[in-house]
Amino acid sequence: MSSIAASRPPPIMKLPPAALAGLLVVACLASTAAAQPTLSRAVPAGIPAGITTDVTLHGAKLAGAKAVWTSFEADVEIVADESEKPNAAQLHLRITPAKGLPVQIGGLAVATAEGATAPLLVMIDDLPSVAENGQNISRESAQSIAALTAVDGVSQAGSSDHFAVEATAGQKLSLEVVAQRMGSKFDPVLWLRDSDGNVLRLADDDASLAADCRFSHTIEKAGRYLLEVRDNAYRAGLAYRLRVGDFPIVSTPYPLSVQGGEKAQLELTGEDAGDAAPVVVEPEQVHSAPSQPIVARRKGGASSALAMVMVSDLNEMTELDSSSSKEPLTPPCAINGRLQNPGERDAFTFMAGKGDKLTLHAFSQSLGSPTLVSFQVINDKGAPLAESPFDASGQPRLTWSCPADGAYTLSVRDLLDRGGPQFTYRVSLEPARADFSLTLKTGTPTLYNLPGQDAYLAVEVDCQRQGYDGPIELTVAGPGKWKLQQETIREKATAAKLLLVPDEPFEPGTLLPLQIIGTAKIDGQDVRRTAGTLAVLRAATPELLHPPAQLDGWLSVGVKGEAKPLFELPAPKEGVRFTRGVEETTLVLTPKRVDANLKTNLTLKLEDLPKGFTYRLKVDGKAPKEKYELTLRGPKDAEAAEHELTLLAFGDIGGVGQVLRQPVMLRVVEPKKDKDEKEKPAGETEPKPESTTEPKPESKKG
Amino acid sequence: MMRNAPVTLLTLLLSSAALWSIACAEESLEPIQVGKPARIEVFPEAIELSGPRRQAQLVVTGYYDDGTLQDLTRAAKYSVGDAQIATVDDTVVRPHADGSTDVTVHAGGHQVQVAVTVRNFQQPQPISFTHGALVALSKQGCNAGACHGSPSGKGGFRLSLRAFDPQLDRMTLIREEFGRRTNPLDPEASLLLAKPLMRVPHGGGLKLTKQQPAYDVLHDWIAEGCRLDEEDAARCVRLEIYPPTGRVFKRPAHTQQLSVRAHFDDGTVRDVTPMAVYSSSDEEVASITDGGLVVGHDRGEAAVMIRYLDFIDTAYFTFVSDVQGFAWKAPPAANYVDERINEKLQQLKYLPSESCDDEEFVRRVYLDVIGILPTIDETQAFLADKADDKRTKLIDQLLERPEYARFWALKWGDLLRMTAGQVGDEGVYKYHRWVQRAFAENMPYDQFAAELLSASGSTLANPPANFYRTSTDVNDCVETVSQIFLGARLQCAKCHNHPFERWTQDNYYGLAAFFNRVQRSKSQRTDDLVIWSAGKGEVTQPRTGQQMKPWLPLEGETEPSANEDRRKVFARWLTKPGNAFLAKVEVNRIWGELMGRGIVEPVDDFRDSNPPSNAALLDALAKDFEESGFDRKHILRTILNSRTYQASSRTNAFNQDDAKYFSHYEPRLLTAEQLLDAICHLTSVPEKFGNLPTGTKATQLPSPDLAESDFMKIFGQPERQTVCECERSSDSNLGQALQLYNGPLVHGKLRSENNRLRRLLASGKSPREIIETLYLAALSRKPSEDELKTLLAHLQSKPDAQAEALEDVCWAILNMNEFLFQH
Repeated sequence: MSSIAASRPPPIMKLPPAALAGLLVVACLASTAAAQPTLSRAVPAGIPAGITTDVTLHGAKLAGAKAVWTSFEADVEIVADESEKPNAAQLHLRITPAKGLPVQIGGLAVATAEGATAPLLVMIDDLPSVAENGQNISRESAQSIAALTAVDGVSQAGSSDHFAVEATAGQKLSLEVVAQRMGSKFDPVLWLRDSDGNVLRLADDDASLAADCRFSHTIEKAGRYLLEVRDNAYRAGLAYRLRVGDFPIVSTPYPLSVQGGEKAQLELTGEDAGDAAPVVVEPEQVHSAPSQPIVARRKGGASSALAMVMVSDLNEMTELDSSSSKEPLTPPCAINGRLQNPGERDAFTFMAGKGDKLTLHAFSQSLGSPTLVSFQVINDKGAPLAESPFDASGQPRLTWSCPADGAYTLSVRDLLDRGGPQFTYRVSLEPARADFSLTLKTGTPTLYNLPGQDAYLAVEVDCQRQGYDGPIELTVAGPGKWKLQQETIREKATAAKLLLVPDEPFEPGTLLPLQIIGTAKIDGQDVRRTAGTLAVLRAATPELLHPPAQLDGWLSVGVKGEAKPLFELPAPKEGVRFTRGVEETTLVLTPKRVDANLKTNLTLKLEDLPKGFTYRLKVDGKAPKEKYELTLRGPKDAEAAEHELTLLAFGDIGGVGQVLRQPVMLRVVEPKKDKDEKEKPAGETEPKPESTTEPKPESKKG
Repeated sequence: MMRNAPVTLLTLLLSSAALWSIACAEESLEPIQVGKPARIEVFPEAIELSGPRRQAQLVVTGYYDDGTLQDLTRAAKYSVGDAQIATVDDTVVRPHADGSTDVTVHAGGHQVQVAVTVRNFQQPQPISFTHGALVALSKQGCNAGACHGSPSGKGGFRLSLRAFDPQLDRMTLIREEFGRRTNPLDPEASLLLAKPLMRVPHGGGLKLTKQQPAYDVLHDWIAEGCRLDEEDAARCVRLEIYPPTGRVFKRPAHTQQLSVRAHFDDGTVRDVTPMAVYSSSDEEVASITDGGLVVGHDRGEAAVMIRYLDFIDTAYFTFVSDVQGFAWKAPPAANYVDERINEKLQQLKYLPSESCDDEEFVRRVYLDVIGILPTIDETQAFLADKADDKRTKLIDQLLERPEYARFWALKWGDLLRMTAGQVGDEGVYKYHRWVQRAFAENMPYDQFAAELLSASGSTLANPPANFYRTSTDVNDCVETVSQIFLGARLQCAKCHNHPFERWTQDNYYGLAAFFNRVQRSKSQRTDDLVIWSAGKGEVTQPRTGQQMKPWLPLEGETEPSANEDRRKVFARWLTKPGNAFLAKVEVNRIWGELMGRGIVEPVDDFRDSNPPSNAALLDALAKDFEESGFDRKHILRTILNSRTYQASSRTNAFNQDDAKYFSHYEPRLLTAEQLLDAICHLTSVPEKFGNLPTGTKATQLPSPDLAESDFMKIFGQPERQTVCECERSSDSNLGQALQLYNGPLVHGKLRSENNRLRRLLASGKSPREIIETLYLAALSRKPSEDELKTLLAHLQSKPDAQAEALEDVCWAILNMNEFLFQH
């Protein structure tokens, strides 16, 4: 699905569809952020499927763009800037999205030799785009637009943008502002007025969309109508896309979810979805993303609404199926329902045995429904046994233990007792099993710009355990070969920091989509879980309430040129002396931080130890004034010889680190032959305070 | 001895002073001119006294042929058939032995007999703890909020406020201090008596004399062993006040003896007149003695509050008198507002002022309806209009202007505590827009109230839900709802029964039961809360530990169904036809906004002891409001079209003392926002408020914290921390004077190179034209010849500095009361 294009000659890379998830929101390292390319907006912000469109990307440090990635299937060509002074703040593209793509929001990112940009969200849109003219700050200077148009605008301080549209009597005008769904901070307020300025409609937040707004209005009298749009708090410089068309006002399809591999006909629901054409879908059995966009149009309409359907592995039932057959639900399954009237409570019967553990999970708002789902499990006497907790997303999850064999009722309602055709929901019922899940640690990046040499990634992962306390092995999936350090989440541990060291350097301008995979054997079964990234994306872009679910789990790694060193770790040139019979010697290393932002401890490793030798590491003091004591232990009868060890030091800022490799000579010496040197041990602190080796007496503890 | 002398002397002095003040009211009474009443009535018609401690207050009323009446109790003569059975002692019947007799009352040539029956005179009648000792302590003010009834007591002695918690008082009086407070063996030595008598030093001073009835009650209760009441002792269930509320007295009639009787659940009735506690809503109109004698002092109305334990009743009295030279004359009534006002004024002998002139009206109505001054063009167009109905037309036009909704959203922003700090930077715009839209679309007020009270969901997506964001907990909800929609300040009932009103602590927590299930949860969006109602959760009364059922004023407890959001039950009650609170409180608030003073004042302090200055008008407005479908514009239109609203602020000889009955328009300082806008308007130099569009006026700001202004703070702009109307200060202060004198805002606008006066100067206008223009902009009138002459002379004195001289003129105008005040 994803596409790549580049200025000629383009580097050809095929990326999985979700490759941009990590790029969505996060700038990489604070210390190097200024050096990497960035994107601020695309003009136009909407691109029609199947039509070649010239798009200008605005941003910084875009000169020398090597590649462009899209999360949707498209041909992309970088139009070379042949002027004498190329404008690094703009990049011109020629994009042809695949024909037949439904209206959707996707990502677009650029890679240069300085790294990759965070993605810019753009729209695949069947409405033609025009740019706001910037002069339309009053009703008198309203910019005239056609009735089937999308305007890409930018808010101005302390004023609204005004547009005028001609409409005929009986025409249904659909109006929508897409802003926060595309990651903008713009919180739209939209007015529709007649030519005399009388307010016909005012739209602010929408129960399904949150800050974005939309409505449809049937025009009574032919004439000129005025649109006014502004940011709620009059903030300037924020992008929005105002869509004016004939699309239905759709919240979700019904049912909300279909089973992979099954053909299904979906009804569209929403504030004004009455005459929308039904949608037939047949998702692949092995679905790559939990939801996918669908075509949502009125019958005979020329423009579409944004809508998507969930795809699952479960037996997907609808409220009608359940009530008509009156057969109890049989978990694992999912029930799709809707609350037609205010205060309505839907009831479903299911059978459960004593000791059964069921996980009930509601879905609604992430799919576009306004429902804040609340549910109860009720016994045959009508007594509530369990109630879903409040969930900020309206999608609560509950694990329930069945107290006795019998029939139970799942009662579903809207927490605010609202109702209407658009108040759809889905609740899955699955047996609870010992399991675990992984998520990227909140606050860590999903976009990493990795220097080409001597660098590594540090990815922090949180582990949520559900009845499983054993170890979890971490691996990385994606292009390139990586050497992993600290790759196990220990028993009962709930966090880990995984170090990924490239086996070979990558070319600057490369983009590497990676996933962190955890595996464990639970009850004899291999369980494999991908570390989720949605929570991190949400935290980094609070306006974007529902990042596209198919992008979940992906880290994006851009490759840039060389980076400045973060630290130094002087090691004794004369090496480490190990006196036979003494068993232990200690090497004291004092790091020197080149980048003051490196405020955490280093990770040290010693490799290529001769047989029988081990070491242990002790950190003395706190960063940035810490010292490392590497105590080397060897057999009493180690042969006198010299061994070249490799000392590895890792230090990272914001997930991208420097790997320092240096040889350290281990000299195993006879006590007698080393008499003179005893008086002046190698690496003594005076001349080189950063590192010392201190022979230790034989350990009494053995 | 010498060391004690000062204390003794002080005690003596204080005692004398207190006794003098107690006696003073009686001594200053004018004699009653009995005249020739057509008939007299005596209350009670028959007297039954059961036990030696019972007594009965007589009240004698004379009715005259001209329809007036007068209290003759003090003037009547009393004779008793058998003085062995009972006697009349200073208008009070007291028993002496079992038996029957008659009291004959003689007044104005009439006589009426009252049968008296005495029973159980020989039976012991121990003093009740609750109905004796606690009543006596209340009577003497010992358990008042400023004394031992304060939360921490006084001098280590704490009583429950107004005896609302007898359990606590029992412990305090009998058990604390090792029982030193009461000494049954030697009652005189009890601290409970020795201190208020000032036999030992008492921080509160002399609070009791042996002559007062409370002394005997407390003394006897102690002497009888400080007995507590039996579990099944009779309980008071109601008070009966005589005469009933509403009497009107015309001078020379000016006093009224009250009779207060307590009805008990065993069917008995006791006269508690000497032990009830009295207070007047307006001491200048009428005061009341400890013995229940109301004394009128001036024309007007007063509410007398009568309290006995936690029973409170109120009686209203009106005092009128002839005014020399007064002859009723009033502009014709435009509507029922004028009719009700005129009735009151005529009764109280106040003469309404003439109607204001057009210049006054146009400025007044602009400021009141849309918050800003009219432009010069608007003023001139109005003044030039010769149509008879031009005022009505202007009112209609102003009510349809967008500034109307913005200005009234500012007023409600104060009440709803609309600040970015409390509802978020995004939320404050949305909440403000919702309120503004409600005014613009003239949302019926019952719907407005219901939407606020039952709002759920995201505070960003459903802005009225912010009502429960600013009301951060259940107590805040109770107090906010009651102050905004019930016009009642319930804060004190949280800890104890309301000292001045019928609201009890139980009522407070009964109301809380409607709101305690409200949940406030963080949503996914930044700075957003989801407001929702949980399906369970009850309120416990902290003092009694009782689980409270939802309670509705004037209706009592209610049982909402299990799944119902209780807030909706409350909203339904509040907005149902005939609700006693919703319409009255809102029309009073609107009246207060237009007239500068509510019919009930303060506008959010409705209580029996704070009566409306014109109850008939308040009732009529409320009825009209409800019948109009709670149409606020209709009520505004009705008031604005009345002669009362359009009365001149200039008083006449017959209304200059009136500050309460709306006989003339009451000038008031412009609000902070109005004043800032007016200065901007006069100088033509607008203010820029934060991110808000250029041209946004101070009266249109969503919140004061979006654009902090020292100028507005100084002039009383509220921070919106409370729901009290009183947070907006209208007091003048030195800071205001300094701001107007040479504050940076005024100075900057006068010195601006692009201000009105410089533009006028640059356009070649003559000094006269410029001065006239400034006057029209500021005052909606042209200068008088005298003013013009003075100002032109000033300009001529600075021929080389005309701009500066005009700055002086402008400065002088904006320091005129006529500019600073709404008039």
